[in-house]
Amino acid sequence: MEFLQAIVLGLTTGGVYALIALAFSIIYMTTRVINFAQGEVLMIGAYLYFFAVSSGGNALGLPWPVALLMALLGATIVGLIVHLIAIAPLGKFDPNTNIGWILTTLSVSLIFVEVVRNLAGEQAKRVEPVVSSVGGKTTVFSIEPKQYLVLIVGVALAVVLEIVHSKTQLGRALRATAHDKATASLMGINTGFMVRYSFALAGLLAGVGGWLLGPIIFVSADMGTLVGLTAFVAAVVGGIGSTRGALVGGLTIGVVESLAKQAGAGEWTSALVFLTLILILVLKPTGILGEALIEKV
Amino acid sequence: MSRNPSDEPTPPRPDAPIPSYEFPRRKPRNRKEAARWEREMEHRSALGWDTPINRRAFLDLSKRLGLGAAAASAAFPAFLAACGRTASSLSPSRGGKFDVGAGAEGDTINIGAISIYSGVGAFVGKLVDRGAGLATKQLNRHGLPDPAILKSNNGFPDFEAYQQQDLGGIKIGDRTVKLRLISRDDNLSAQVAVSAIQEMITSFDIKGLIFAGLYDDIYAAKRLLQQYNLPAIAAYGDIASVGQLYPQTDYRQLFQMFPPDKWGIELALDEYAIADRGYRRFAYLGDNTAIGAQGKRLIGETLAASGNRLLAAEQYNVGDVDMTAQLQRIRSANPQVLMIWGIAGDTAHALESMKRLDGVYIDQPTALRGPGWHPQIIGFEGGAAERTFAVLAGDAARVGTMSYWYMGGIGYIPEFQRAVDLFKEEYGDSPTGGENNPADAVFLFAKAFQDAQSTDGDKVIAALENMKDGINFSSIAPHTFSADRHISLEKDDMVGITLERGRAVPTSPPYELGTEFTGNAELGLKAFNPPGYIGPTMFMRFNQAGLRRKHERLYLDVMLKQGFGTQCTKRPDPSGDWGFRLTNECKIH
Repeated sequence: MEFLQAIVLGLTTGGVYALIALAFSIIYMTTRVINFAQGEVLMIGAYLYFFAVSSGGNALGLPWPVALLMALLGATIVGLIVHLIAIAPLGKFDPNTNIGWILTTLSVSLIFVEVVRNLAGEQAKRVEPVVSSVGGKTTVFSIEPKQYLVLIVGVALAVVLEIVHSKTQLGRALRATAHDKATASLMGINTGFMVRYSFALAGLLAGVGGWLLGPIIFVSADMGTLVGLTAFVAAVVGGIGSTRGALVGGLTIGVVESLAKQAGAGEWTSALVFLTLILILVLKPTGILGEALIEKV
Repeated sequence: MSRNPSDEPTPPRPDAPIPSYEFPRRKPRNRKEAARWEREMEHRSALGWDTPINRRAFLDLSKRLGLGAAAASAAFPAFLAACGRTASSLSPSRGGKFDVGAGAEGDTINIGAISIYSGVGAFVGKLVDRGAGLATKQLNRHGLPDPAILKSNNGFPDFEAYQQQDLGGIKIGDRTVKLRLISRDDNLSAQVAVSAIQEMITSFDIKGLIFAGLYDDIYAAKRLLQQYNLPAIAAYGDIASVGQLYPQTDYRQLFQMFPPDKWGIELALDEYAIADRGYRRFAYLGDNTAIGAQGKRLIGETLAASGNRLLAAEQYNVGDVDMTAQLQRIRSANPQVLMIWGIAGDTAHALESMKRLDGVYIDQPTALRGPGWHPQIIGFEGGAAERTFAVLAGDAARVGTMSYWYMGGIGYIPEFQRAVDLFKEEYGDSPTGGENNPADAVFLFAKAFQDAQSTDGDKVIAALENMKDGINFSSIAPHTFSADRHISLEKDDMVGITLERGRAVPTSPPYELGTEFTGNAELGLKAFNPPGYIGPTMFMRFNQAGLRRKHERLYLDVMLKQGFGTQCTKRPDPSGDWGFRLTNECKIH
């Protein structure tokens, strides 16, 4: 029973990793860069929701659906801002040889943390979960509805994105941009738009992640840092650039963490996560569901 | 622990890099080995070694600096009230260097402060700015308060009278001497701190030092202090609990203002949990930092002294969200008390996990022998005694959660409201808590210089040790030291902290919330806490004998008689000194 509980708990934790891993993958698909500020976009999304939904002080006290819309819109804009200040100024570059993007995205993440810390203060904030406001309070396997919601939303968004990206014109354009930007451009695809779209979508996903995660881990300036790093590992484990891989990678890492704690090895969680990463990269360098890029000559 | 003489760790040489020690990178074979590792870590840390977990530990610990506020809504640096400049105008500039001007002419005594001015812990430096910085300005304007002023407001400081003083500095002989605060950033590194202190000594000839940064700063710099015979006051560090405070060591230069965890744990376990509540089964859940390691050791030692032991002990990583796995293992031991040793956010997560297991505290009879598992929670002062914990944990944080703090750390009594109002007028917001210790450290140094009529190290240390009346202008009770007590508090200062939620929990017999929640119409006192306030308050049955000895006026005449704090259960008793007595009939606290 406790083993099953640990698995379910791991899946709920993995839902958030999957969401952010999706965001990593989408940006990677169009730009071949990793946005190391992704966790901080999640953090800003969580703060926006907190200030929109809370009452008192400078908070707006809006109904949660309105607050959520506001947070998602804000996170989407923040995603675009990351592109604007961390990627766009670099111009056209080969991400394999010019690694300036690593520094710029990392810099943006640090800037975001300090800005939020100075504006919102050091203290973590509590935000009430939506599910409890609509009656969901019963725990199953000692896991709360707010935790299940993460898993449900994470899986649902992964499925929706998979369908969108495989069945729609937009998705095909995105994949074409990912495959060969120059050719896609010659075929009339606005590749610049597609890059901005990927950052905006990644911001939106991070906003959802912040909304879901805030009630669980509390809203703080540091909340996105570890989540972002772990989600990056999940994206690589699952196969970066793959929507399904992000989901699988996220859930895998969540379960590994949970089982480690269940086995009384909580202090080894990070080590086990990174050991999993190394094992996967050794056994299947493209990740669980990643596909090797074949360059025709 | 036996070891070869050659293995015995030695303090680092001042001219050598600070050695580092970490836990062996394998799982301990058994509990004894784990305990031995923890002792080794503490021992080396205390010798001045760099123990990498301590950096994170301090960052976690530093969050408890809001504790003044937590422990019943703000200990408050009263003297800040009428100061003319805002804190923002005093912010450190040029890489954390901070200089409260004392005027170019005339004599000046420099006091150094080492704190955190950059990165994640920068808020600690702000506390020093607001506390020590403004204390310096007050002293340079008004001088030390006349001793009568400290008691002229019905036994408490008269802030208005102090503002009328116009001494223009402290008096040494015929001279009026101003103070100047020199602050440096430790950059979250003990090595940087040692260099910065050396620079303050050689370049600024500081005559006193305030530690308000990493714990490791104190351990790393103590030999330097000894070398220069420089008196230093640790505003936040608890070096007493690791046996590193004079006279346990020969570092006579070191003084401490923080209440040692050791005292709080002894009172919480011996007096409250065992003697008062009758609990016999104990478990521990703590974080993976020095806070947890020290807490576990002190709890184990305290329980062993009374013939008890921990039935289960589990650890979590700082920042862990779900602790159900650890709690399930603890539950199998069926403890009546769960000691949670970690910071506020983690303590909140622990209690949310308890709630998922349907294990939150209900009352004492249920904790002792009721259905299910509902242990009473006793927590670390920087966790369970913080208001942040109660806010974050929501309804998982139950009334009756216990912790400890010290009596002078309270700030809501009417005698201090004028000062609180003045502070709000000045800054537009309430003190966050934690400003008071750096502030009082400056006042302690000022008084020591004036008493010694000198800045000579030996004379200033002797003056600090002989400051019988002490000084308090930012805490309710005075800070004092003695030759054999380099902590500015005594065990008789310790007071219980309990969690309340705006209205009393129905219990039989019922109890009344304190005046801070309800006001006292009979005495014309208004409630200090806003309606629906959730947070810690004083628990008045804890350490009664000690508080009566040390704080007769504050504890009995103000707190008890005016109805402050949780006093369950207050029974009329005409034969008693005060017409009532406190009993343990209330089942919640």
